[in-house]
Amino acid sequence: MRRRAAIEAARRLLGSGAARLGGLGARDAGARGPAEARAASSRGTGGPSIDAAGLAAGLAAGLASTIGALAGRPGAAALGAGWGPGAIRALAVLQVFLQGCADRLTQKTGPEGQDTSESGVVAEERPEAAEPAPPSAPPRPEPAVVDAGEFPPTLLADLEGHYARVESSGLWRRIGARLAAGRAAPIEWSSMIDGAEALAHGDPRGDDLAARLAAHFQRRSKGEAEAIAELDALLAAAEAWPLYDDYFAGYVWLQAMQAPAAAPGALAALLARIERHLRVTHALLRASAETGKVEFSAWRSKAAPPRGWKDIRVPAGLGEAVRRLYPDTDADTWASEGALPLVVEGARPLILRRAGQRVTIAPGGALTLRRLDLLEVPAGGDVTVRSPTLGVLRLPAGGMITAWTLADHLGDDARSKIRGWVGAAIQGDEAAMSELQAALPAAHRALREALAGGGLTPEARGRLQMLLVIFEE
Amino acid sequence: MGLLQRLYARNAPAVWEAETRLLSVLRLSRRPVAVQWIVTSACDLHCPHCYSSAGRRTRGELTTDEARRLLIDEVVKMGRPTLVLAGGELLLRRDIPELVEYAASQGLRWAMHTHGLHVPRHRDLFERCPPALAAISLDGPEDLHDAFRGKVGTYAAVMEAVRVLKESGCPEVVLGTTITRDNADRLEEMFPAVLGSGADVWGLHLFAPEGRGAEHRALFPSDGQLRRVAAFARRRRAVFHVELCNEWGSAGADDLYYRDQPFLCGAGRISCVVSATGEVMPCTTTDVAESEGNLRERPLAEIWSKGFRRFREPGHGECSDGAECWLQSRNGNGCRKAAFGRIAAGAREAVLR
Repeated sequence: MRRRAAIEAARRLLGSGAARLGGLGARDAGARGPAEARAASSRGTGGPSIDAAGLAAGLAAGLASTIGALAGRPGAAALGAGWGPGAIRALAVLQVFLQGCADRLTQKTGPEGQDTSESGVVAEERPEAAEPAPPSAPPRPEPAVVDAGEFPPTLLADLEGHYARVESSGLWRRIGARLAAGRAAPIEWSSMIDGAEALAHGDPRGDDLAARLAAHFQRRSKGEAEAIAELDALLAAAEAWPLYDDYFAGYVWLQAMQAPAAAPGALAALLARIERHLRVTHALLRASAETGKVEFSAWRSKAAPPRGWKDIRVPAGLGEAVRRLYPDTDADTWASEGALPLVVEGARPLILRRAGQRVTIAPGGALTLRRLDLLEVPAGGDVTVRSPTLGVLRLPAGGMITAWTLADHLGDDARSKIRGWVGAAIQGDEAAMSELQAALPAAHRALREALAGGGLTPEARGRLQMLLVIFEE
Repeated sequence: MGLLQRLYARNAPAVWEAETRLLSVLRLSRRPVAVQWIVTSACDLHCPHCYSSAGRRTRGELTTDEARRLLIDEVVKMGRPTLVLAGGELLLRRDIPELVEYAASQGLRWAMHTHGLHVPRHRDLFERCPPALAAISLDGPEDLHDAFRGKVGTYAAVMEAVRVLKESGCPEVVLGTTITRDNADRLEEMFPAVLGSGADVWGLHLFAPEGRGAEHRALFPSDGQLRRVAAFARRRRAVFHVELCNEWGSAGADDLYYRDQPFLCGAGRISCVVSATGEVMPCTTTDVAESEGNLRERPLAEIWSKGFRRFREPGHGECSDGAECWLQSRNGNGCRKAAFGRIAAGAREAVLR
């Protein structure tokens, strides 16, 4: 009796995946014959033409019997340190695998089957054929712009031996950590320059990045401005190694926002590169969660390493997983935080440059201005946009607006409102903090001014700094 | 990484759930990964957020002999999970060196939670038997930490403790910050000090109204603070090992942005906590109604294998997988939606590709 109950429990346990597989295998085999069943079994996985459903059903039946037999024994027990935990884990993995097979065979929507179309996109934000430029607009030479929708063509080939080395050695991480700490304390530029130079590994691409980064820190130490083209080249050098790092991409953005004005095309190209960089970085993170991380271990013996020994171990399938996940990976907090919804008013359109694409937002159209976006106002007349919380902003004809510069175009009422929020936030008003967080492109400058003004308590200073971190990183 | 491990990595929460169902049917329990012992409730500080209401030593705390026989020997029998020593302040207990050396002689890995003040005078112990992990509490920048802990110099002691432990060979020193309304917005200010301390990890816990914390419920951060801290942790993980701890619950598919492993609640399933008086609890809750038994009455191994059924039921039982920390939920302090919800929703916003 007890044994029968145990077997029944095991059936229930495996019911969701295995029974479905068993039923499917039997139904397919019975109704359509072996050939069709084989075809059906390989349809979901794209794998070899074997009777996967039958095989899985057999495995599931075997599993159920084994578990039933084990469950029939008396008493409760704790697993020991021997083979037990591993066996249970293996059984569980097998069950999940079988369930996955069942889901595929029944064409249940899975991660790969998800609809990745831009269902949430406001119609006006969809890529459209660019409207003809107004006649008075002068033609501008456009630099080559990275299309953030395009997967970096050489990344997979370069993963092994380069990306892995930088990621695993932690050299870059230390530089990034010092930059992050430098927001709240002075940076020792000499050590940053030394750190940058240490990145070189004798590889020309590594040497190029090290030299560019050292030169960049040198310029920052002297307070010299950096041109957009130089920042673009710096990020391109990192990608050529390849080094993909979201903190670095954010750092380059912050430097770009403070750089001298550049042609819209140059800035749009850099912003598109940053967007792609962030997406690759996050796709790598997601892929590592599936396949395991890249591991690095230096050879520590005095003896020569054995033939074929490598200090880098890139998990099999990492590159392919990155490519598969990339289309469904966005720029993470760079897509969701520090953004401001706007609606185009009046009769004149606005150009949105995002991720390497150029989109015309017609009057009445809505957009969310993100930190990686660039707005171009066609020559011939100002464009007005409305923020639901801050009211109307007038964008000058021929102007180029980013989340960093939007505050230049705030009306008096909006400025006054933001000043009020900042004052309330200093007093600890949470509602004002939320308002500021939701309007960071318009409010970040006021936050910085309040911090520079001094006279704040440590708590108030901390609150404003935390908001700025969300905007600047 | 083998095939099984790769399949596991891809489906960790599903595998964990399948494993739970299997173990339930087979009436087996997992071997614990860690057993935490609240060594004493004695503490020379009086922090408002203390989950164990530490201060004076409780009557009936386990004696040295009981700790050896009923705890350490049992832990060895349970397959040698890591023995985590916490308090109160464990280093106030005079027999700690003896117990640690006994545990080490039995082949146990040990770890500890401390406020750090007494670490330097135990340097010899740490050099002889370095803990596998040491977590030291850090509640804010110097002014806030010292005020919160009620004693000037405690911040400096934390930094000194990190140094001593690293020099003694402790491989992983964690600075643990319990996020409260007071310190949530001061993390940016703390970051350079954390980085310069030599610590390996910065663990961000979340205030729980347990123990003395129940008297200071206003310390729970606001929704806005939760969201800011989560965003901060997410960004800074790129450059330092910042981790959101279990009290935050699961961030779902976004867990990989906050943690090394997908969130899995270990309460009563891979870990348990033995109170100073021998009550065996699922986690650090001080509510004795949650006790599964006292190791003075039943062997720890037996309590482990037969108890905690409600945490081991299929369908998540009372654990926190995929949801809030069960203890935070019970206390009405769920934070998942506030901390992670809007970021996740925002991430789904349209991005032109």
